[in-house]
Amino acid sequence: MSGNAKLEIRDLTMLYKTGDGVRNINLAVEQGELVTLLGPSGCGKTTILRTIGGFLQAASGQILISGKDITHMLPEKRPTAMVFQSYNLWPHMTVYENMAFGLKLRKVPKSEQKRRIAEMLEMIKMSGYEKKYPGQMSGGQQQRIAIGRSLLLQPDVLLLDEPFSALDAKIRSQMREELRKIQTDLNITVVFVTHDQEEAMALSDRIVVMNKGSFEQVGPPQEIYNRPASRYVADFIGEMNFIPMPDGSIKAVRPENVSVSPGTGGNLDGYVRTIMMLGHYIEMTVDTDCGIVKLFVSAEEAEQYKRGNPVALTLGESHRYNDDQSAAG
Amino acid sequence: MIKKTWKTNVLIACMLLPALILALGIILVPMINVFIQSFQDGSGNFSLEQYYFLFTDKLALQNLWYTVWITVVTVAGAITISYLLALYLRFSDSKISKVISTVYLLPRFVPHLVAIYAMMTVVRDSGFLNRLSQVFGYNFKPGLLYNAKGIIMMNLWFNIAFATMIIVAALAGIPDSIIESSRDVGAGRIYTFFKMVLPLSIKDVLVAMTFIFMSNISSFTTPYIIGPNHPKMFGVYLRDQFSKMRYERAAAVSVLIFAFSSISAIVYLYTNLKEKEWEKTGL
Amino acid sequence: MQRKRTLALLLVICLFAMIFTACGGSSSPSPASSAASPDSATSPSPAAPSAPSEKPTVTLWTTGSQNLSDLFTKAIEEYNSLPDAKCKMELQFLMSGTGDTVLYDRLAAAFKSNQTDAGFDIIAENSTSLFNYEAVAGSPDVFLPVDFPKIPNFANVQVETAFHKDKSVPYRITTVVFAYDEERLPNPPKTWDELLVWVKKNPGRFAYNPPASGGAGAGFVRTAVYRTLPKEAWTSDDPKWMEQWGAGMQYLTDLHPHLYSSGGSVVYPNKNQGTIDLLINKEVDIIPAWADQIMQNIDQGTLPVTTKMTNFDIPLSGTDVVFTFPSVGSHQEEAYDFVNFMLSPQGQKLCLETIFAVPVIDISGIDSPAKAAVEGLDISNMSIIALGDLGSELNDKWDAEIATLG
Repeated sequence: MSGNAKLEIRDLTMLYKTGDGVRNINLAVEQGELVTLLGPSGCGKTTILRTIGGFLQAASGQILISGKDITHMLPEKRPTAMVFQSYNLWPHMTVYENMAFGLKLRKVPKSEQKRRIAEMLEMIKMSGYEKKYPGQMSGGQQQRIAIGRSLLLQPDVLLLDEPFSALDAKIRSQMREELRKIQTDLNITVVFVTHDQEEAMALSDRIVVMNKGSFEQVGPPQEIYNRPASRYVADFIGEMNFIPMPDGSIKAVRPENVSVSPGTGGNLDGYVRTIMMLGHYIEMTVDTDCGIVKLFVSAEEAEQYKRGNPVALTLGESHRYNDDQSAAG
Repeated sequence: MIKKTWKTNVLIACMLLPALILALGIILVPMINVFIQSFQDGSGNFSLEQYYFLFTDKLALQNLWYTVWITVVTVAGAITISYLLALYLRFSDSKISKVISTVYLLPRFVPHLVAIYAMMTVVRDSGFLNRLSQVFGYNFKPGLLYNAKGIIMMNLWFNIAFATMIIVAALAGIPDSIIESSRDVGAGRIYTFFKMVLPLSIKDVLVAMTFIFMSNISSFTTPYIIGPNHPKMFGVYLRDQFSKMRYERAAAVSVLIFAFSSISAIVYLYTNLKEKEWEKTGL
Repeated sequence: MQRKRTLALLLVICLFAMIFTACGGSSSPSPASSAASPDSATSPSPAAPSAPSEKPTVTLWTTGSQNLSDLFTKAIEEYNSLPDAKCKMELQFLMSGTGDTVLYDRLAAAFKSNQTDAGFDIIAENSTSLFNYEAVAGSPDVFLPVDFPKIPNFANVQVETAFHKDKSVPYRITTVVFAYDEERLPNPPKTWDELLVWVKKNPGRFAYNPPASGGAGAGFVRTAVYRTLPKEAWTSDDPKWMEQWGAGMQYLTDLHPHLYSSGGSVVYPNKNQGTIDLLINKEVDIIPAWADQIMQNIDQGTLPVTTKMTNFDIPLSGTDVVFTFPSVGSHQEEAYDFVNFMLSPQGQKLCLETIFAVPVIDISGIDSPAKAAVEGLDISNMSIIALGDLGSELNDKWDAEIATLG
């Protein structure tokens, strides 16, 4: 492990009474890095986040921030700040009171509080909302304030637990951009939890793909997308065709790496099953002997195909997995 | 929400009408009668003598303050214990808390008289506790009956379940993330309680207090059976006056009990009708 | 928000309703009268089964504990099944402690509005309480004189009533006694003076209930106060006698510090049952109690068979219980027939066996195993104290001077 990691998790195990949880987790996050824990619900991503925040107790292992062991610290003593999925703000306090709460605890002088809150509101584009109560704002505005409130305390590590999942799609992508901008501007260290692979792709410096309490693959979005280390990752990230091979292995090809031509004689032949218009491109599915294959074609190209036409498919860049789901080459 | 028009208002009024008529007939009319009667002397003339007596007679005054004192102690005790119990039920995950959360309401289902006599068989000076102590060679006499301790103990038994029920519901309505985010920004347990949990549940606590106050200021059965001979709670005093056929004085005692209840009813109304700024949603 | 407000308002109205019903529930006394045991609320007994319709219906009103309801339910059942019964009896029963004052209020209201067929045909009541009925109605004419020759069995009655002799027919006697367990107290006090000496020697072993909370305590307090007064005072509501209560009150004051105590202070347990519970639990050795309640407890095994009843030089007050005929009722002739039945050996046996009532006829004429229980009771010189309004004054004085001693 590198010595200058901002956050370092060493051999962390945290188990619930039911036996679920996470085992033997190792992760290092650099200063200014945004790392996303990605996986379906129940994979343990929130468990790791809450253990970092101090809301769950590690059974074994260590958590270090700036080299200091915080494994057994109470949440209020940790240099972390957490933003939850919802109900972050205290409903009986105004925006200003919400933001001043942590500053007061840190004995920041009143005038300093005022200045810093004004600056933060400016940055998160919420100036003028000081006197509003949470109930008087939209979900997106509330989450903005929640993030601002956390940032005000200048945490060593910012923890975000699916903060945008309760928002609608348009606001969600807008918030993502803003978060990314603020994070790079301030050069803060962030651990972000989500089950939305698109969100993970858009935001992260590195993604940790999780499955049943352990890491499947850790790497930059590009690498995860282009070189999924297992069939699970390949399946979870983006769209993927899985074609069984005669030797029992499975070939995985992304739809954009499949090309199509009329007639027969390709790597794989079949008949057009569906043609679906998705904006500036067309999604086509083809019925083959090896199952249904999905691919993308341009609108002009699509005009020559009708349902039931015989087509030949050429498979481009692909990955191979054995049945035990590990990469075979 | 349904848009309000005069039609929906008329509909609401119509639906409330039977209840209102019933309320007027069986509550308001006797209430007014009692009120008028309390301002009469023995022969039906207008007089303040009943109130003059109640506020000057030494025994009556002692009874009045005794009643208020018992009720206030009951409210304070029941709310304190209930709040602690509710906090435990809300924030503990242990087996004991699960067991308690399923059985704590049981006292609500035991009829008053049964509970009082059951309690008496346990705590009376010759009761279960005494016999148990004799097994170990002591002669422990709890001395809990026929005095304020007994009444308060019994009142707590009856009211803790109710108050806990209300406060548990209030605490259940506070999301974990509110408390966790408070801890997260650096507030300790105690500070979080006073800044988050208490303000967010205080309204329900006030409601519980009001209910307990009202039901105990007029209590009769408990103080009658296990209360002292003197001073008497107003419920018992009222019965005394009634049995001595001093109906006007009994009416005045009723009006006084009602006045005390009204104070807490006003508190109840105030907390319920006056919404705090933060409870109004702008959306 | 409007809806929420309306809801809150309704809730408050309901709350007030609760308060008022609570007041109403508590406004139901059982004056020092009936042999009252726990005042558990029970609805009035249903009317007796119906009989052939040509007979007029006669309604009997009474008040007391459950045992009294049992007695009249049984008696009416037996009477209505007699082939030559002259009327069909019906029972209206008011549980004591749940609204028995309403009975004299209702009777007074009917009387004042000159009703003639108000359904109050017979009232069964303690003779000492009947003075209250007259007082509330404001006239002695509220009860009709009795035509005794029309009740042949009255000739066998050996008891004189404390109420107006021409207006009441006694059917049983109920009396307050000192009850004690012979095994624990082989030599009980025999006089009032001995009681004081004994109580001082045995602190905490004697208790009586507050006079306003039940007849046993009232009997004790009244006898204690009136035992030194001339006989004419015993049935007088003249306030002049109040001046002579001093000695009696002093006696009660002297007793006070040595009585049953709990939690460091002297306690007078409420209700007749309160002191009986103390005797059952062996917390005290001797109490004043209604004889019939003691017998019932012995019968049920809650008190040991070694429980005895006694009286002092001046016995505790008791009362005869009588039938009276309100002037607002009707069918008096037919009602006589039922009263005659109650005075027959059959009716008296029923009273004896159901509620251990002391019969008003010669007990040798009754054939019942329950006889033994009451035969020991000497009622020949039973004291009858009927004070009317003065009774409330005495209770007040006790509340003010004895209960406050602490």
